[in-house]
Amino acid sequence: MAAQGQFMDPAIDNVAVSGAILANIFQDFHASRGDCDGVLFGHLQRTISSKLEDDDERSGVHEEITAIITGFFCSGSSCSFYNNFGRIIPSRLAKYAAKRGSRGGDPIIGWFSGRHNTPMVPSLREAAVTRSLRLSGLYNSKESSLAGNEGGFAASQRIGSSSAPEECSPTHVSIASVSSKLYGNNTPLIDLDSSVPNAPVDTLPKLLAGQQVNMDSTSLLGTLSNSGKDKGVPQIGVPPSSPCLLMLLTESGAHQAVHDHEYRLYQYHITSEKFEPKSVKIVNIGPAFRVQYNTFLPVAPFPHFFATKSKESASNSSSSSSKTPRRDLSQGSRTLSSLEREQALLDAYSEGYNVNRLANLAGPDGLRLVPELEDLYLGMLKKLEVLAKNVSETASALAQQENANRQSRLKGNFSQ
Amino acid sequence: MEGNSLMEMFPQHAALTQVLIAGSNSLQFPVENLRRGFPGARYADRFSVLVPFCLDYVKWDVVFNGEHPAHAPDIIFPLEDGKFQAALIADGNLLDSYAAWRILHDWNVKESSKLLELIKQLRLLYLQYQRKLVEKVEDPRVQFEIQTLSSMHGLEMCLIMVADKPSEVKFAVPLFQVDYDLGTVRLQEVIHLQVIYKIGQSWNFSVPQLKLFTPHRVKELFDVDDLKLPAWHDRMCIKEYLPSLIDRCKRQVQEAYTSAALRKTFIESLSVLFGHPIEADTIYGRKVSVLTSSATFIFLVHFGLGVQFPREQPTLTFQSCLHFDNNGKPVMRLYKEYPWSPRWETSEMVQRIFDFIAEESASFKSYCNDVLQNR
Repeated sequence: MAAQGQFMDPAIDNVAVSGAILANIFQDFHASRGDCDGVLFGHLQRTISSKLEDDDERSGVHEEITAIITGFFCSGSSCSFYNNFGRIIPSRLAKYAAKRGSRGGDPIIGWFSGRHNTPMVPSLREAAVTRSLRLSGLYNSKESSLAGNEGGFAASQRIGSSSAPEECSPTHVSIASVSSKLYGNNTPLIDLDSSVPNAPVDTLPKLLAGQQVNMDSTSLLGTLSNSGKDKGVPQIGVPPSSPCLLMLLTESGAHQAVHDHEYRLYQYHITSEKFEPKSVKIVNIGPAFRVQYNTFLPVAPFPHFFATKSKESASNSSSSSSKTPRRDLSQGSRTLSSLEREQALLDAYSEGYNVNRLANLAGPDGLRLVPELEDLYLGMLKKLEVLAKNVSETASALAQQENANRQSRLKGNFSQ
Repeated sequence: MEGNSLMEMFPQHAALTQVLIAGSNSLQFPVENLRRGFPGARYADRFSVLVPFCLDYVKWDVVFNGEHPAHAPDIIFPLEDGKFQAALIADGNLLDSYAAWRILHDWNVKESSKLLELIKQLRLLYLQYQRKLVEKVEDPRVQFEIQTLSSMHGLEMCLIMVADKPSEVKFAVPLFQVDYDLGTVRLQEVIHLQVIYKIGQSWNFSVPQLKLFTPHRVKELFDVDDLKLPAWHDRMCIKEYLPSLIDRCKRQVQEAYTSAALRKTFIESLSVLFGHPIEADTIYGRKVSVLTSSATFIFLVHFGLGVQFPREQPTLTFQSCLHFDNNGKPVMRLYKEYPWSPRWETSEMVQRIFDFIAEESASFKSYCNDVLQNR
């Protein structure tokens, strides 16, 4: 088991899914009549919130990691991308994974299985599929690095030699993987951090052979690495940076049930081979989900800071025709020089404290924060002083002006 | 399960399930809760199967896909057996699950014995798994028992967890096989001793929980509750305890055989005085009913014969054919005590009972009339 120690599943605190996506999953499940499955796309999000307590010692930074399901693809039937005994069929999974572009664009974060009228516990096949999904993701990341180091051919040869002769016959490949790991040597299934650099390659075909039905061992590697290079989407399975989730859905249909629709979400841990139930936050729009806004990260990034400034400058320079930022940007060098001017002006406003330095204020390194904060504070004080000076100057100027006005009025009265 | 509910299944699934229900000689797998996925589904394609394990059952769910009948079934284990499932999938060192996966791999819906094979394989793996769990328990006494019993054939054991901590170890120790030819039925059933150890108790002071288990069919012949278990001495182990228990048990079973034979001769000789019985239990000889009359008063006599027959006298239930109570049920009266001696010859027993019935018929008739008047 020490062999698996190196890889740790990303720890997550909970899972968030938008109400619309969850409803969509149920809709597709319902529409497929019968049981069905599909893949889930998503990413991880780290929320750092400061915990303020009266007692200083207990205050601190609270970090929460949420897996966000941003899309899914429902296959409409069961056993869609895996076979009878729960091995993934990579070609089909790749087809589903390719749909991610239109479904949030995130990588595969897990899969879901909808089955009617059954206990909400991962079944034998579901557990096997989840494991296979996790392992093939790990394998592919490992494999791509290997290919870079030693070249694909060397690696494939080693794979070929490691498999016993009868394993090469196409029909037996899949079960041979099971047999070699169960009947044969007692090596642990996954050997990802063995001290011998080549060892992982020897064990990996056992993981993968089962997923590659009708493929001999040499073409297996070729196909995988090709698909990786061609599309730039190397992961088949759950990439190591993502947690591996399994969502179970049921529609009981029985009227005595409290809920007609039920769902449960598990995170699969490869090290302990356990399914850990996770709480699901359903994200909807409304005041109760204010927190979500704070952590909102737009998928399409806004144009950079200068774009807004250029808009300002455009309106300042009273060019009434160009109001959209895109036009501004296209105006080129003129805007750029005005940008520099604006930047200089801004820096003057902030008393030399650059906006980019604000980024240094967040982060776990407490000691580094102190001088940075002090700088900011000093800058603010300076700014206040300047403001105070400005105020007093204007005030005195005003007073002078008023005095002058009054005197001229008096003079006028006298003259009358 | 009733045959007609099986009709709701996809025909090939129904065949698979039928083989599963039939089980094998020593193992029966009751199937329950056959259901459809949702109300409009074409076929009922999922059910629960009770798998005999350690003198009890574990419940697994078998899920076919009615829309895709060729797909292999999926099995859902209870939540607490998640580790068993993980071991099945992952680790070649812990469980040798190759054969089970092989069945799923080569799945062919037309081979009807496959499902039974699969469940039997999984059951064997489950036995292995539980044994491994028990072997890991750090309790000298349990360790000792496993060592001394390790070679025993058919031994089952399991670990009972309470609040995620091992609490008890349960052994199901096969004692011996009852092999009895009852004419039409041949009984071949194993009598088990159940031993439950509490984990973490000292060797000296605790007696494990002991209980004898007989299969349902043997109960008609032999009642384990009648057997007084030999005393469990301090520092005893199962292996030490077994010989005296088996001895005593075998003697009891032998008595049960003789009793059954005696019951049968008794039933046969009833016909001399009572005529041919209306109904008789010819397998175990536990029940027989005769029709009799005194003048115009016709009534039935039901004989109830105990497993310790001659020692324990038969119960007689009179049932009038002419008198009915408020609920429309025939008037009945139970007699447990009347002249009886286990030492009599069978013919004398029958004669004495005949005499008693003749004597008692008048008073039973008046009893019946009383019931009629009071209603």
